[in-house]
Amino acid sequence: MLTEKVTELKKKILEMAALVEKMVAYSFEGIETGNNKYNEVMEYEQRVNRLEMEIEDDCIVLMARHHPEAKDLRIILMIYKINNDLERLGDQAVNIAESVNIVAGNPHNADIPELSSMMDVTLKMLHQSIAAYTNEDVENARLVCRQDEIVDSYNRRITNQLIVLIKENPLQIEYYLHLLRITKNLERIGDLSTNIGENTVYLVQGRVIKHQLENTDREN
Amino acid sequence: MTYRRLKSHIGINLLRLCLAVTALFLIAFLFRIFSKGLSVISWQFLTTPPKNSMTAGGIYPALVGTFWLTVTSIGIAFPLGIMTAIWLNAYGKPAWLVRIIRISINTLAGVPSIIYGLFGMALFVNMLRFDVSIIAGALTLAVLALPMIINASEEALKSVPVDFRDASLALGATKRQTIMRVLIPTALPNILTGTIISIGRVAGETAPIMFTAATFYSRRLPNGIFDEVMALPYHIYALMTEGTKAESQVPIAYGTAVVLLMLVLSISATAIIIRYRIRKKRKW
Amino acid sequence: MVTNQIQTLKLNLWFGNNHVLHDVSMGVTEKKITAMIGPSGCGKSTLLRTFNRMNDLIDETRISGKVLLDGEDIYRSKADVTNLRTRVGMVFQKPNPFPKSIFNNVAFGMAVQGKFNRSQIEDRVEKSLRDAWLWDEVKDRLNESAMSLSGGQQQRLCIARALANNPEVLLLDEPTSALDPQSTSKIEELCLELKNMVTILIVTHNIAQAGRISDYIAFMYLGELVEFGETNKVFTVPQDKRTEAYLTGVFG
Repeated sequence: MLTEKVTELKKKILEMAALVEKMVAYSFEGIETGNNKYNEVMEYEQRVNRLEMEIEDDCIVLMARHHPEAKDLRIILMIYKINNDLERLGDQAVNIAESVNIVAGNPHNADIPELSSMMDVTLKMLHQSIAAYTNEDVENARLVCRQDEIVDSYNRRITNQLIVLIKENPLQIEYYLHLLRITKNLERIGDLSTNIGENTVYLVQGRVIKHQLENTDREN
Repeated sequence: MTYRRLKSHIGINLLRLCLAVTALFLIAFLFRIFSKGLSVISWQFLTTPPKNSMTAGGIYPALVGTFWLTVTSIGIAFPLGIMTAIWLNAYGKPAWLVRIIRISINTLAGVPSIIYGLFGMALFVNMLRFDVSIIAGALTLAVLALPMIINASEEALKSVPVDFRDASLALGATKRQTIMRVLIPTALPNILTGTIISIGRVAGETAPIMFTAATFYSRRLPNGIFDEVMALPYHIYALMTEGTKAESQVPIAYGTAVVLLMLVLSISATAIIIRYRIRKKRKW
Repeated sequence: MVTNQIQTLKLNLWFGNNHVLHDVSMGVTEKKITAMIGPSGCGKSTLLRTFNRMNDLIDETRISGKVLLDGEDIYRSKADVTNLRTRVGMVFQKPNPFPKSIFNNVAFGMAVQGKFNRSQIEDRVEKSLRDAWLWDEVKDRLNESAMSLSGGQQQRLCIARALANNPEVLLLDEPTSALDPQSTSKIEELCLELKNMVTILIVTHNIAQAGRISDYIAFMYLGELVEFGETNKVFTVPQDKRTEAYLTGVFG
C-alpha cells in the first residue's frame, strides 16, 4: 500500500524536477541568445508551485496515515526537502529570467566571459544532482557537492570583475547590477543542487554530509 | 525431598489408590458375572423361549422385548427432548415459564424409578387404557429418559459458539434456518452422547416396566406395541425372586445378565462410533 | 449532491436503560472505506450493527431516528430483515466459519435463500473465493472442513461467505484483531481491492489500520459521533480536540 503511494510520490517529484530543470535552462537561454523565454518560465513556475503544494500535502498525509519506517521514511523526508529545494530553484530561474529581460542581447555581456562557463557548470550540477537523486547514485551525488566550490569561486571572481566594471562604467550600473543578480542566483542554484546531492546521500546511505560533518567524522 | 514434593507425591499416590480400588470393583464385578453367566450362553439360549417354568430354555422373548422397549422409548424421548431443549435454548420466553419447566425437568431427573413405574401404571395403563403393554412401558421409560436427553441436548446447544448463530443470521438466514442448519448439526455429537447414556439407563431399568410392560413369563413374542412383553432386567428379577428351583434358575439369571450387559455395551458402542464419525467431519 | 448509500438521521439506541448511541447522523459514501474508530465502549460496534440490524438480537433494544439504506428506512415496520442482511454482509472479530466444508460455508447464504440452482451456487462460490483471494489456496480442497484453514484464511473465507450474497455493503467488525501481522496486512490490501465492488465499513481499534486503508473516518466517543471526515484531513488536522487527543494517544 505504502510502496505504491511512495512510487506515485516519486513520480511527482521527478515531474517537478524535470520542470525546474527546464525552467533554469530556459532562463539561461536568454542571456546567450537574447531570445528570452520569460513567459515559458512563468508558466512553468505556476505548475511547479502547484506541484510543490501537492507533494508537501502528500508527504504529510503519508506520514500521518502510514507511519513510514526506515527507507520509506527517508524517501518521504527527502522528497519533502527536495520538494522545497526544487521550488526555490524555480524561484531562482524566475529571478534570472526577470533580469535577462533587461540584459538580453546586450553587447556588454562579452565583458564577463566567465558568466557562460558558470552557467554551464551550474546547469550541469543541477542536472547531475537530479540524475543522482533519480538513480540514487551516491557517487555522482558526492561529485555534485564537490563542484559547489567551483561555482563559489566563479561567483567571487565575477563579482569582483563586476565591481571593477561598475567603477569604470558607472552609466551601465543598472545593467551590471542585473548581471550581479544573475550571478548571485547562479550561485544559489549551485547551493540548492548541492542540497539535493546531500539529500540523495542521506536517502541512500542514511548519512548526513552537510557542513563538512563527514570530514570531521573521518578525522576523528 | 522437600515437603512440597512429598505432599504432591502422597497426593498422586492417593489418587492412584482410588483408581485401583474403582478398577478392582469393576473387574471383580465383570469377572463374577461373566464367569457365572458365560457358560450358559449359547445360540440356543438366545433364540429359544424359556421352558419348564423358567428352569430351562432361553431368553429370546425377553431379548426382543427389551429391544422394542428401548427403541420405542428412545424413539419417543429423543425428538421430544431435542425439541424441548431447542425451545428452551433458542426461544425460551417468557422467563417464568422457562424457570418452571427447568424446575420440572430437574425434579423429574431426581425421581426414583419405581415412582415412574407407579406413575406409568396410573397414567398409561389405567387412565389411557394401554394396559400392560410395550407402548405403556416405552412411554414410562421415555418419561424417565426425557430429563437426561433434555439436559444433555441443552448443554450441547449451549456449547455451540454464539458466533455461529451470529454468522448464520448475518448471512440472511432466518431463526429457523439457523437452528436447523447450524445449531443442531453442530450440537448433534454432544446430543448423541447424552442419548447414549439414556439408552443404557432405559435398557437396564426394571422398576418402571414392572407394572407397565413386563410380563413374568411368556413363551411367545409380542403381537404389537399393545401387547405385553418380557424384558431382560425384569426376567433376571423374576428368576431370582420367583420359582422354586434356584440351582437351575440362578445360572440362567447370570446368563441373562451377561446378555443385558453386552446389549447395553453394544448399543453404546454403536452410538459412540456414529458420534465419532460425525465429529470427525465437524470439528471446530 | 451525492446521495449517501447509508445515512443515519438522529439515531439513538438504548440497551434497556443504557443510552448507547446519541443523535448519530452520519453518511456513508458508496464504494469507499469508512473506518469507525474510538475507545472501547464508545458505541462504534453498536453503530455498525445497526446497519444490518444485528442489535435486534439483544433484548430490550430500542431505537429512535432513522437508518437509511439507498434512501429506504431499514427499521420501517415492514422491513424484511433477512433480505437486509443479504444486502449488508458482515464479518466478525473472531473468524467464525461454520463447522462445515469450505464449499458449504461459502454456499450457505445462497442455500438459505433457496432460489439458486446448483451451478449458480458453484459459480458464485468460486467467484467469491477468488474475490477474497482464497481460491488458489482452497480450490483443491473445497470439501474439506473450513476448520482446517489457518486463522487468516478462515477470516478470508468469512469474507468470501459474505461476498457470496452479492452485498452492497460489507460491515467488518474488527476483522483483524485476532490475526497475526501478515494475515492482517493481507486483509487490509484485500479491503482496498474490494472497495471497487462494495461499500466497506470497518470498526477498528487499530488507528494505524484506519489510517492505512480508509477514505473516511468516523470518530466516536461516549456514544457520540464526534468527528466525521476524509481520512487525510482527520489524520492531519482533526477538527475536534477529542479526536486530536485520541489520535495522539492521550486516551483510548
